[in-house]
Amino acid sequence: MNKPQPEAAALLRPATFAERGVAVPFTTPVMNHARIRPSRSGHGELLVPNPSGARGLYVLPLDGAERTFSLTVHDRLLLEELSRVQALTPQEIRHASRRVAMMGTAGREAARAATEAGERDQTERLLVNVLLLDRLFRQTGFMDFDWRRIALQKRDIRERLRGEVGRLGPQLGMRADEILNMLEEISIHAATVGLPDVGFVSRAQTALKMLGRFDEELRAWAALETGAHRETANLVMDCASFTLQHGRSAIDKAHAILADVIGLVRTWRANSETIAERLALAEWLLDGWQQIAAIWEASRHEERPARRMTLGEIASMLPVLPKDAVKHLDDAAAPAIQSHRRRWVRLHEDWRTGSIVAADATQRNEAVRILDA
Amino acid sequence: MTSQPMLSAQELSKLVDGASDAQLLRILELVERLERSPEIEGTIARIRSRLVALRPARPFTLRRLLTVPLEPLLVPHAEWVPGQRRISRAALQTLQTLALEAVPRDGTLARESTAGRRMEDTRLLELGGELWPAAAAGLRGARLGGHDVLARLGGAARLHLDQQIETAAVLLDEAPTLLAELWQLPPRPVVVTSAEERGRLERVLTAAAGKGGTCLQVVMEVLVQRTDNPVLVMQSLEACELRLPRDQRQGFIRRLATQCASYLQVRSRGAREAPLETAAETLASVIASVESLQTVGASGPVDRRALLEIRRDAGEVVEKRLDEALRRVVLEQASALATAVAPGDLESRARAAEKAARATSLLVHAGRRLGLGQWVESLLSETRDDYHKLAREVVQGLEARGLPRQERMLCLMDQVRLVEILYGSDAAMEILNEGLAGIEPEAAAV
Repeated sequence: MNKPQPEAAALLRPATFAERGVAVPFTTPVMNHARIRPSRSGHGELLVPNPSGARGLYVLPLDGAERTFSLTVHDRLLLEELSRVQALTPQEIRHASRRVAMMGTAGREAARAATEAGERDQTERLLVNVLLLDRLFRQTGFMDFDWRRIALQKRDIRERLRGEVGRLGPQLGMRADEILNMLEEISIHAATVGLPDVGFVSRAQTALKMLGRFDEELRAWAALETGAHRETANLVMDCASFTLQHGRSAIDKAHAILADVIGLVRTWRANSETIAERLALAEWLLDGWQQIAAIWEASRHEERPARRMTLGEIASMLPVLPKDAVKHLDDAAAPAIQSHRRRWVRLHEDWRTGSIVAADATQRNEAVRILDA
Repeated sequence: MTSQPMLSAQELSKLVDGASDAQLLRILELVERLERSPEIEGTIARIRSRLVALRPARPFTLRRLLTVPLEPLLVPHAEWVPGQRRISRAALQTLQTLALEAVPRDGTLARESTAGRRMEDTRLLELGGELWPAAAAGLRGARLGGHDVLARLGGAARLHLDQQIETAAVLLDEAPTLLAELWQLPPRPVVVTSAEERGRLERVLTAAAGKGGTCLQVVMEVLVQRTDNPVLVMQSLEACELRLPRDQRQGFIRRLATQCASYLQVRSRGAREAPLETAAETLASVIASVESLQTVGASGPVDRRALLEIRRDAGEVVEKRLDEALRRVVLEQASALATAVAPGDLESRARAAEKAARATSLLVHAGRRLGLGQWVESLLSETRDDYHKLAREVVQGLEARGLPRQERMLCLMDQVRLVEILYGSDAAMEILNEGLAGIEPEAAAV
């Protein structure tokens, strides 16, 4: 195996998360690890890793991918869906890809996983909304608020809440509807990181757990590796550890913001964008890692040589931290991703299109979709 | 065994058919706790190819540890050919019994084998280092000492078992170093190697040649079975610095080429009756190996007429299996998806149909590689309408069944996915757009 070569990582490092783009779970093998980001024209553009395995990316307009590559039905529909997405954030991309998976484009199992994950998200969002409101009551001194009076399962929950929330108006200087709308809006951003000291594990926390397990398993596996394979594993483990550390810290900081609900409600109107960015930092940091962990997980029953190949694939898709993010993290010593590029051409594979074994590779990508719904 | 789950072999067979990979692994865990019967062994034999791919972490036992070095050369009994350095699965149990008689039943090995642990790579080499040499000595001792099991066998059967004992003993002796080297090679089937990997191949072959002709033959066989490009092994042997006269080295290469060809012939013919998936994978592998051997010049070690014969045989099998798969097997499975069944059943039916379609797609590829492109294209265009018609019927049927929208969408997508695997995404999009118009007119503009 070739020794990993340092590339002009610093020069190529994107300035912001948005410029880095969001990982999209395409199933066409040649589109593996592609990202989407806003383009100058206002529509999204795709960043597709060089299919030859050499350095560099293809930057394509959204409607260019279909003309350039032979895409699966799943990916054609996903591109359609992506063209309708307003904000290119990990959350929006996740929702778009779930809508496509729910149609059964990646198989029945992936459809079921997407439906369940969507329902889970909705429940968590509602729960966060309710918990924020509960905290707001308590922090404003309305300790007598009794949720049993509200009957959460009924449709007119908002009507019932309005009366109760109206009591908070004078203290916060807002009308009941304003408060309710604001908390709903905050919940959309907060549900991903969850709230401190409550009973459910948020999506970001699940992603961290998955990443932690990946890091642990890779360490055990890599103990038997030597030479270039070991170097590759070390690079991946360094990046995973760095992301774990800063992911945890980002969640803690988000929890600190959410702990003071009065302060949050008072500052939201003026600073909603900044606060939303802080709440979303963990998700941006972890973007792409769940897919990596799922790819490793999907290979768990393979022989060591096959897993080495998977590791090589993972090393070439490590999410690069943008300059902006590195600047804002406590410890700016982000591991330099020395992208080690290598492409394994498998038996019966046309390296330009990935066809023939594409059926297997597509199947693997669909399995990853189930694990990373 | 104190308590056993109640599960008959028939129930077991039913369970494994159409089970997902995860389900299959759970079933296997259950089976590990059952007392072995011929029926259960038969069921395990049927799913062996899937288990090989899944590599489930199974409880550590001495028999299992003993089998690890033999695995590369284990073949189904029907594929075993006298004179070749392979081991028939039918002989495995006898070999295990003979080998384990010589292994002391105390110490680390015994403790580990009863501790219910899982096999892992490090411990495997460590514990194997203790077991394998003793087992090899046991096998040789049984052969030389005329063990009762051997004495009971008649002429040819005894000779065949002797050959397999010899092969197994070499594998067991070489296992600690050979396995460590094999794990560093690219995933199977190895098609191309880097300079470093070629160096590794040469090191393995040089070391084996230093231990004699039998050892070299066995190691060459092990390397050949890992690749669909057997010429790689021949070239590595040519490049090795061996203390072998040139004609002797050429003799080894020629013998290997002949054995490769005869083994490919057996495999190609075996694909005639094998299950669709196995047949497709076997044919694709056979064709790749033949193509590799055909790259050697006419004056090389390979009998070109034999290779042409294998291609002809493989071509016949591809024609038969592909025609049958497209016109009947996959179509029937696609039709079965349209009938009303419980969602869980539907999921496993869809999985099975997609597997069959993927195998069919591999046969299409195999046909093209064999120069049957024109025939393949005409078969594809003849059958495509059948699938289209079926999808149309499914959509009409869905309207009548009054299923919820999501379920109707999934049923349509089952058909779309099969067409995508068989005929590509353009054909699948046609069916999808037409079907969407039936399910939800306003969404038909996708």
